[in-house]
Amino acid sequence: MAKITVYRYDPDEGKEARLQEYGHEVKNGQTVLDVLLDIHYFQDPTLAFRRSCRSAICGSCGMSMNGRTGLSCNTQAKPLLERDGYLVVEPMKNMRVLKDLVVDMGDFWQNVYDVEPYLRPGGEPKGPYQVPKHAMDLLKIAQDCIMCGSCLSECTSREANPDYLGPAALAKAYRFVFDARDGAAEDRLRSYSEPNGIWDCDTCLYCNEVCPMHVKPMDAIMRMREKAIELGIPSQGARHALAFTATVLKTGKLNEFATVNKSLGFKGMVAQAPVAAKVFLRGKAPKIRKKPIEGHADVVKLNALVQRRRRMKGGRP
Amino acid sequence: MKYAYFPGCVGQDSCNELDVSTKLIAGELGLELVELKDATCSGAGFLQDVDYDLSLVLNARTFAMAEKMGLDILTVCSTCQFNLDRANRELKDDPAKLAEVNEMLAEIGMKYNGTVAVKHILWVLVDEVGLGTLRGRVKADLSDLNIASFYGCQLIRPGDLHTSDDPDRPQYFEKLIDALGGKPVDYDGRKKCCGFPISFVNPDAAMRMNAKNMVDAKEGGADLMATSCPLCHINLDIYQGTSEKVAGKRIDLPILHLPQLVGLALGIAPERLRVKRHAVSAKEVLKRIHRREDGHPVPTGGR
Repeated sequence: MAKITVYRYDPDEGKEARLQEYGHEVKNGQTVLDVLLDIHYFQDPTLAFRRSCRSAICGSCGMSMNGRTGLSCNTQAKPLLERDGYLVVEPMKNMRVLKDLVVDMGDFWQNVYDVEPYLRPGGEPKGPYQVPKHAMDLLKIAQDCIMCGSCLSECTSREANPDYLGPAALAKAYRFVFDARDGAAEDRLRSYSEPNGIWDCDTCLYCNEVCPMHVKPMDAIMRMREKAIELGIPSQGARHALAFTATVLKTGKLNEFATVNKSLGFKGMVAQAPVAAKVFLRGKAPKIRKKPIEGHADVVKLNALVQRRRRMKGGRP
Repeated sequence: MKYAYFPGCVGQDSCNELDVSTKLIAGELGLELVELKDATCSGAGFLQDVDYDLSLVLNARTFAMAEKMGLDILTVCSTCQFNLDRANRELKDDPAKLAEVNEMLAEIGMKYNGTVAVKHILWVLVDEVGLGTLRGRVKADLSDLNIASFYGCQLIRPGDLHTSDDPDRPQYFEKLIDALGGKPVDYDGRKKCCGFPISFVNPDAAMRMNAKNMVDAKEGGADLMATSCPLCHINLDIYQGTSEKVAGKRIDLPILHLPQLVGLALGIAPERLRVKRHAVSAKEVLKRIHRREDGHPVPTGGR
């Protein structure tokens, strides 16, 4: 008999959330959802959780299982018990709990609406759209999203900043920026470059890691950043990345001082004075000038080659 | 054991104590390091934001240099590790991409065949030097210290790239701390983000993350934290004061680089490891490291 620990909260009880333990004989092949359904049917009908398809298609049953968010319908219970010696099922993180394992996904959906998740073709179509294969391939990293919320649950940037749009909404945004039929890429990227958009991702890779559908929200965000920079859309994030890159091209190596200086500007540097003082006192001040690496001419040549190839291909996709 | 050593830009500049301590412990442990002096920056994600293709070609150039020496690459930075390894994996998995990159490398007289592996020093210490060997070389008694690990996101995720550790339950750092004689601290923040990548975009959010992880570690009993990434180190150490203001509480947690911690355990003097360069002083904590006589642990008085 295995011990299954489940997060319980009922707002009508007027009590704090608690962890409840259930004894359950976990059979080979049972998913965490199977276990919850058994508990719900045979032990405790008051246990609340969302589920529908049981085949990892509907995206309803996202929850945290031994600390990692995923779909309970495609997560096997026994391997978790064997690995950790316990099974703790909790609601998704970064979302308000409504009851037991059911969370309020209102903000999640609002974020999706905020990126305008529909085609903006920009004019009347002249005929049927023919989307070539290479254009469809670009969308692979985003199109399988089933909106389960697992990525948002683990997003470290969202945890620190509730206004951040989050990985699922931005993966959806990517879906339209790189859609051959959409005509508003630049407009979209301008809006996504505002604070709490693409530049607020801290690249912690949790979203790529936990997505049950192998969507790569972080990769989608990176590609939108690159496109935004190509289109010259200004933002603090773009300014920093460009400052960084300029120093690498100049010597082959990063120049920390020049990057910070260029990224923050004079006013920003003044605000950093207390930190800078500490850095100087400890002898940790980065070098102001850096010597180019021996093969710096190679770097210049490779950069020219990359740019030439891109021009020949007619720019980025 | 011989490696092409990729020191990273920050590891040789504002955090040059990382480079110094890496070379010191390599000498002690018989790790031969051939420095990739002519390598470029890995891109750290920022170059990738501007021009991914360029980052791929520049990193391929680094791989070609290591390949020519017949050596695998050793990194000491979670961010370098991820950006190099991701590029390496892409080139290995996609022959068409590798061919395209090689066309450009040919213009500077180089070629990459896809035979190099990129490894972080944490993995090399655990898997290749070995925990048994490390245990046998420990000269200082760290048993009085609760030591929190801080991996840096990009050393543990994505799990399908870094196959050596478990992204949900990373254990390499804890195994290392245990082998060095310290007590690892279990806390959730060890696998989270220090906030560095958004420090220049949303400093408040970055500092909130940074503070939370350190407060978590302190509440878990940490006396000391060690990190495998110099960028995390910048935020955890230099920006600890700023984070304290955001969190509204005193943290006072000394942060070491992983090779500095190993060096202390091996009996290397803190001055040589340049522990004094850190913003948060480790002085008081270091007093609790005792010298071991002839390999016999100092009695711990039942602690």
